[in-house]
Amino acid sequence: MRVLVVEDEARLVDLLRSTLTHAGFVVDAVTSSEDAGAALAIGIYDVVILDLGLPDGDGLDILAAARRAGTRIPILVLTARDAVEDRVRGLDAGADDYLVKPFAASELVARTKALLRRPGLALGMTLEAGNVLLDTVGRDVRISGETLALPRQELLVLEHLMRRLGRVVPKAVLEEKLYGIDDEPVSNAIPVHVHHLRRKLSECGATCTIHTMRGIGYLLTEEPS
Amino acid sequence: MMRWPSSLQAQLALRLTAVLAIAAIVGVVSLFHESNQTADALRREELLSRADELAGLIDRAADGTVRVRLSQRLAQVFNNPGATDLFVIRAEGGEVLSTSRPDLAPATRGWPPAGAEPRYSRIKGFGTASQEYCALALRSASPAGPVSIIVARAIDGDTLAHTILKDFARDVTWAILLFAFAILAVAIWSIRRGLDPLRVVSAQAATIGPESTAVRLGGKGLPSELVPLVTGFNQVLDRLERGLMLQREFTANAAHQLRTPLAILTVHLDQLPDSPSIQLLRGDAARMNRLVEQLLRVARLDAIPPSQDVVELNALVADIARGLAPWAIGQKRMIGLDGPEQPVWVLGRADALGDALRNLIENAIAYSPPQSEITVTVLAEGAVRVADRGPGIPEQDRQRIFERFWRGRTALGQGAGLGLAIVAQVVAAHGGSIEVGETPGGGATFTLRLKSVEHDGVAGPRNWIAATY
Repeated sequence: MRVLVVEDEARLVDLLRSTLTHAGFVVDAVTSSEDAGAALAIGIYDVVILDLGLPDGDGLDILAAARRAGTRIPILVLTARDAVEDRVRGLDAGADDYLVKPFAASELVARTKALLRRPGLALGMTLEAGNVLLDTVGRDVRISGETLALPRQELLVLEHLMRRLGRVVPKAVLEEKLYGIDDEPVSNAIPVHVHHLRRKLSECGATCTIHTMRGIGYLLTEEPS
Repeated sequence: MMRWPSSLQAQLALRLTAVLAIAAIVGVVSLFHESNQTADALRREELLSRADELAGLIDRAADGTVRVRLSQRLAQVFNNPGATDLFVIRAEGGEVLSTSRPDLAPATRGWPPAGAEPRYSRIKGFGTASQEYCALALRSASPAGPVSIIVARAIDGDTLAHTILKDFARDVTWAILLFAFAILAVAIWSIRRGLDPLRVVSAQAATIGPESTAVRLGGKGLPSELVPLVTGFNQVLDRLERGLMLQREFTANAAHQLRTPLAILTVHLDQLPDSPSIQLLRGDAARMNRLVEQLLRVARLDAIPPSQDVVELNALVADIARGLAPWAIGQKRMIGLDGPEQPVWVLGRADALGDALRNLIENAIAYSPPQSEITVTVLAEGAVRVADRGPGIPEQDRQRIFERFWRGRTALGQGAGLGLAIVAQVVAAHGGSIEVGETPGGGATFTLRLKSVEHDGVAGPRNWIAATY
């Protein structure tokens, strides 16, 4: 997977390069918005990490220009500005996610991977969480290589939680995903599916856990190895 | 005691009313005086001609008595029972030679004899006590020798000319009064109109706030008296705006300048192989990150006071809780969220309120034991309750915990003592309140109350949803 890092702070570029390389990415870095525009035009990147404060312009302009040009590459915006207006401006300009400095290296990797876990993108085919692998095309789940047969609804819940690994998915969002699969929408359908899923994962020795946050949603975390 | 009104308009109107009232009184009085003078002159003329006429009618009879042979017209005037006119003719020695009203003749005895010139006067207490007379004494030669002819007329029994004069005076008085009222009305209207620019400028000034510092006072038709005040005020606004902008820029720049090196430090430490000292350094960096974060929040709150947007609490709290949930799980704590079905709208700024809620929940997570749940409850009346299962807050500390840099004895070492101060600052800026009590069964419960508003929006603020999904 090839990632383009647009960042003018040389030390940070070095660190991002080593962090991302360590996580399995091929990293190209540019330090100005001019170079960034040129690099984006090539269109060989799977994901872009874009700092907003560049010496020769605002990163938001690059973002907006890229989106105007039809680029659909996921773009993770990196910034020292965190006021809500800035956050909203970034998302309005077409950013897929937003990370405020300072951040932990693991957070950056997790967010970048999460972007790539979207359907149709580099990591979207086979999702991974701990020792659980989900093939989104073949629709099967393997835990440490062993196939786990899951009903369609549970598979869909798991897929969505895996795509949003480490982040909360509200119950309403899962309900929306299941709408049309369950013939009769049941008010407690999601908790029931999650309950079964959790039991099956635990029985198979999965090293990821589904947490329930009452009133907030569900999130899948990997257990520290 | 009546207070002098503070309104300039009322003051001007009062002064003008007083001036006009005095002018009207003076006008009416002088008009009456003038018309009385004219009436007197008319009466004098009339009495004089009558006295002359009487003088011509004096005649000495064969027996030596003096008599006056009144014409039929004069007899009608003087000799009818209700006559208001009278005359007395006296000899040089004061002896009454002839009179139209013998009963009144003695009253004229004390009068000084007429001089060479006819003497006109007004007499009171002559005849009936209340009746006022005007009288004229004339010295005249007659067939009976020199005589004093005194002719008098009750003022009431004035002739047509006097009645007309009185009517005229009354009409003019009314005219003066009406005119005065008309002037007053026009003047008050002009004062109002004249003060309009002041009202316009006041309305402009009222719209100025930290949110809208670009407003300047002024506009077309500003009276020259107001220009120096408005100019001075605008210069003050310029300076204030510049100051606010500098502070905002500083906050933004400081954020950038502080965060980038911290990001480098954090990522670098993350990459170093684990060792006890690296772990300590990571902890230090995390603390530093948190302190900078909180300081920037404080600075931002100081620089940008909250606007009066409308925020949906359920959506806001859910968003903050979602953001904190992964960290809470990492800390082995749970967050539970309860709230009413219907939306809860409050006045405020989503990012400032979000900061406050985040601080409250982070605080609760930091102080509660592992595996426990932090319960966040949105209340329909526009409040949020955050309950933890930690050690609770001793009664005597409950006020001080909201002070900047205050840290309780039970502080676990990771806070800078700014979190709750930020909460208090946000709450104060929103006109809300924050209180701390005990969670049933142990722990601290913070209740943050905000100003709830009626609002018919359906969804929560789009940006909060968008920021997460």
